[in-house]
Amino acid sequence: MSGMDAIIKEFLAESAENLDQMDQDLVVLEKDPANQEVFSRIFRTIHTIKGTCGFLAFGKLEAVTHSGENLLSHLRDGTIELSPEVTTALLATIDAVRELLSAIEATGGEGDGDYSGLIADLERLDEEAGEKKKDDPKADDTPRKMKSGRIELVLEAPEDAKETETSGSKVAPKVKSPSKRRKKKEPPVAVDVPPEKPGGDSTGAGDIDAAGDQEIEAPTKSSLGESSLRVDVHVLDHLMNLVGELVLARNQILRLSEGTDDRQFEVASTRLHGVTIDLQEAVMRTRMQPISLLWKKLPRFVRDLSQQFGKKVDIQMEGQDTELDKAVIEAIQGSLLHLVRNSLDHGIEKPDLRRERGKSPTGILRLKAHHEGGNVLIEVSDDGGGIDHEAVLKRGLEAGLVSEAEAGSLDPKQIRGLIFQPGFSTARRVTNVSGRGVGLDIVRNNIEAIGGSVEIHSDPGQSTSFRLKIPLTLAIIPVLLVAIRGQRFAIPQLSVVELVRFDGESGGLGIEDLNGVPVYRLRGHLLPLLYLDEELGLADSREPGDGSVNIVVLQGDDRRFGLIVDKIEDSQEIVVKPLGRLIEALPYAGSTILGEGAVALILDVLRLGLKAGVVSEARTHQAPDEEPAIADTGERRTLLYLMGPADERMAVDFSDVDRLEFIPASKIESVADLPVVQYRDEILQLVWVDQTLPERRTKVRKITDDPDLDSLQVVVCTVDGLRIGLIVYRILDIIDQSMKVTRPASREGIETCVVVEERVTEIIDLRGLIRLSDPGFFERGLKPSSGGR
Amino acid sequence: MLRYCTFWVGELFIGIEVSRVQEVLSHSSITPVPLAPAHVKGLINLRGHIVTAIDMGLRFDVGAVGSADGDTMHVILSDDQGLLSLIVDRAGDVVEVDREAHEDPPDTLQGEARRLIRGAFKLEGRLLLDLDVDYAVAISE
Repeated sequence: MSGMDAIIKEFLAESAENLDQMDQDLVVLEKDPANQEVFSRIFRTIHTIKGTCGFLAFGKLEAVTHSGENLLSHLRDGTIELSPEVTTALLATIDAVRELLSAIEATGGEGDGDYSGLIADLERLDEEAGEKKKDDPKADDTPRKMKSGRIELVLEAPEDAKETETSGSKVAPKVKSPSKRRKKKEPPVAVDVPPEKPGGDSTGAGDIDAAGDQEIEAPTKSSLGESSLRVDVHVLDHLMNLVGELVLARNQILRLSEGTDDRQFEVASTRLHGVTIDLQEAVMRTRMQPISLLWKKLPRFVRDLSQQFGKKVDIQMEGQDTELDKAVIEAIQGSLLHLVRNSLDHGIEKPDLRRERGKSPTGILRLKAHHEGGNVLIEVSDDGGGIDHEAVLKRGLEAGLVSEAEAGSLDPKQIRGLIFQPGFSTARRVTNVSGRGVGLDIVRNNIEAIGGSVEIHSDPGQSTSFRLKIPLTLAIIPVLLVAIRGQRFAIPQLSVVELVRFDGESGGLGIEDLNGVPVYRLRGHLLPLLYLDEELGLADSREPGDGSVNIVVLQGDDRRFGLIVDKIEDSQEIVVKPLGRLIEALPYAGSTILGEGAVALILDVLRLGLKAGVVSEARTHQAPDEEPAIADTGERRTLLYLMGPADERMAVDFSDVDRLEFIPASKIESVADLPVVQYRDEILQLVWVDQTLPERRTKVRKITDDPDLDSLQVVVCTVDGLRIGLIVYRILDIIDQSMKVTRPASREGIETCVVVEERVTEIIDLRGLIRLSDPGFFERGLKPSSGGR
Repeated sequence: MLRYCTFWVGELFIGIEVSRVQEVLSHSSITPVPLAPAHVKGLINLRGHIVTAIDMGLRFDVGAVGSADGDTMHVILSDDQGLLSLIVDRAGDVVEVDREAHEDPPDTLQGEARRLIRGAFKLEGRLLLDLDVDYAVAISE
């Protein structure tokens, strides 16, 4: 039976490829009914499936394809037009065939689907055609574009051939005259193929490979049967592993050759080195596939969707040949469909609205792909209405993703970022295809899971574009090697923002301790720091090193943090291997084997950040399939936790905080009754938090009551682009606080209250606080308030 | 008759069915895995495959292996989930045991060690402990 199984497997693989092509072809054909080459390919596919399944005794499949073929043959005879109705019926046929094939693949049988309705539809269309033929005897003698004698031969009278040539990019090759009809096995020299129009092979009808091979190999090859062959992916994976081992063996040999004087051995090992590199590259290449493999599904998809939405959409593609690793293509498929769906649903307007806006009624969906560095950039853009920032903000407020207070200070980029938040997409707007309560957050999660990133750009009223940055391959990634306590770890380059190195002595710009949380001031922003050895439980005590510090600035989720390591080694391309058992729950993304055979762990930056609490959990812990409940926002915020002079607790949102400074009390001056200080060539206006928001109990204490206090703790914040310094009593901590349970603020200058460590903590509303202290601050701020120079 | 691959962990003479063992290796350099359970000694590179290595001394709670002379051996197990290495003090021969000779574990074994042993086989002058491999390599604690 195994021979039979192999035949069925081959049949399934072949048919799947051909059906994908057929989807695309039918959509092309609908626009360009004269395209003979495309038509004959469709006919061939159906014909071959029908023939094979008859042989394999798949009755249902045969019945469906038989009806489809009948309809196609009438199309070919020109007795019926390719109306949208016919196209739809044919597309439905493809779907049915696909369904049957996947049932066969899964169970070996045809499943219990009922296709009599479809068959009846096809027959009805077919009969109508027959009647038309009877009623309209002219049909036979009117030369129609679709009429071409025997379709298998893809041959045309010269006039017709010219016509087709001009009608589309993919045309049937010209044939000098009907009398020179090519037989199936005849070499292609008999056909005058214009060299500038590749892709138009016209092998005989029985040769089903013709369609499939085009997309895999350069079409210049003439003997299609030999130019490519199907290989099981597991074989490629195995090959890849073997090459990895060869690389290691090569490295050992190279090391041996360094210690020897044997000239011949040296020459041989150098040669081995060269060949190994080439082999590695070649094997990598076998796993690469053009992105067109993914894209060719889209024309059909877009056609169906645009009909459903009542929109007109043209799809344009650029860079179909851009190659990606097979595993990457599989990983991004769902996300890409989601983005296309999103564009069609929310982006491109209905034809009427487009006319009103002075655009062509037909929208354009554009897909672009190209290589950049070690990545592939894929852009999905449309010329639709763009992103309505106000609507997005409104929705963000409704869904509780932003507070009223925050809403005012969001810049357009931040607002656009909201659409990637879980819970943004709403279940109330259920359409058939999008808005099912799972949204773009899933797309972002999926893309980030394979080490990519998503950006969104929008020109309101004009366009929206999503830009995906995807690694070329999942198996081999560039990493930065770092060392801590003598052990090396790999950090994926994609997470690395920059490297900072400084000597402990250099002007006090080192690491500061913020009540146990080490921070570093990176260009005016506070960067929370993690000591890698502490995070990994390797440090017993912190010894003062030689004073120099290496910080790897990492992007984990939407937060940045710095990782302190002993040594930054070099960048390398590594082969990612799965983690062994027993250690899966740890902050490692995998392991790898370094050049000399040593094993190194790959750090999972996001998990490391989460573990240490520098990356908030709000997003990553959202179960992707769960419909986000709107009431429970599950929001977390990072707060700078403050203590007032009367032991009261307050907090400032850490994202507003620029710097923390100590300023000698004597430096504080007064300008128009407002406290200011000269600060970095500016005049920084200050707010006494204790005086503006006094403790309301009887025991009034002020910051200045503390006799030991000669320098004041100032929290420098930026509000609406203006800088202000808050004089606070004491900074306690930086905390990651759940905002699930909040109490409304009871006074001005306070945004809300939360409970931290069983203490009611007021979160300061910066704008309110500043207005209380200086009502004219923002108005004056329209002119630069820091006009001190 | 059953064929058992034998090894020593401290004073314990332990065996597992030969069919579960892929090979036995001497030294291999180990990359420690911070934060992993203590008995997970680290990762080794076995001809391009990454293998998690378990210190059987720590697993049996009798002190880390190799404490006597620093020498250890890796017993590589293979199953459908991949490879694992049991680090032991010394490897013994493959022995044939009689299924009928299977007895309850000796009472001297206590605690975790008791749970790791399915039973014992009486050999000439020695007792071979029958390791419950699946329990030994399960995600524990």
